[in-house]
Amino acid sequence: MADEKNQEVIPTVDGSRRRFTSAGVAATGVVMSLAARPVLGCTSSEAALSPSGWSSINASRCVGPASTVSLGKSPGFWKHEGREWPTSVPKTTLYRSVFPVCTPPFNNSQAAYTLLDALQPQVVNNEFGRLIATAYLNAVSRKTAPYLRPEQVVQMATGSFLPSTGGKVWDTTTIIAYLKITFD
Amino acid sequence: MTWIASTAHPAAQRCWGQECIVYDIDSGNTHLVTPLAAEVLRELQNRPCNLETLVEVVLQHSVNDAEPPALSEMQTALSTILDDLARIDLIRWSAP
Repeated sequence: MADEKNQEVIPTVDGSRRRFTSAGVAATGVVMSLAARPVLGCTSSEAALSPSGWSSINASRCVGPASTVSLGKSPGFWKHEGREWPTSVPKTTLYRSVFPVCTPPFNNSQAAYTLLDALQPQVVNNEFGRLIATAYLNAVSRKTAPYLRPEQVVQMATGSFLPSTGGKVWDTTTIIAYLKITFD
Repeated sequence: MTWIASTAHPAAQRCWGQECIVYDIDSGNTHLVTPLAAEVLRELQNRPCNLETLVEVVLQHSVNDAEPPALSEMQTALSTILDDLARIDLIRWSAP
């Protein structure tokens, strides 16, 4: 059965090799992508929630509450959390000790606050820092372990995150949009 | 830096004029790519290549009696295409 399926999609190449003029050299290689969807409804998967998977998803894809993969906890959860807060990262941990290089819109003075402070908009009013702190706590406590690791969050915070080998470094807007789908 | 196709099975592709559809059998994802990107992917499915080799291959297929792309223009375009194809996990760097 599997062999029959593969038979149907054997790579098909046009009879003649393509020829390119300067007009044929476009500024981009991939115009759009259509991600394969689960058969039943709008469920997320670990692959779709990984940074590289997420960046391939087209605009029409349904990204909703995941039923097949665990999501992380929200900033509000961590702000009040006592028991589940990871012991390896005390609440008094300074933001800058985890993320030594600050990239805008988070600045050095804000990085002097603790991770707990970064979660509270009334203390540090910065969405990027709040989402980074949240994502880091979710990753360290392994709530997002299958698709987002602590070191990836550090790379996002320090402006060096590549979703895949050979890709482009994510900007702040992309990181914010992605991190928002990784928690309930 | 050498690039290779990263899928276990060669991605199927079909081109119509200036539009090419690539179907990644492994992931089930479908991508609309440019003819040049499709050519690059085909080449990398046959063998690992670096940017310089890809430029040579593509320039060999340039139309003789029309305006061929400039070398720098082609290098820039192919770099972008390699980034794009890597982003959607169709190719990856090859270990030296």
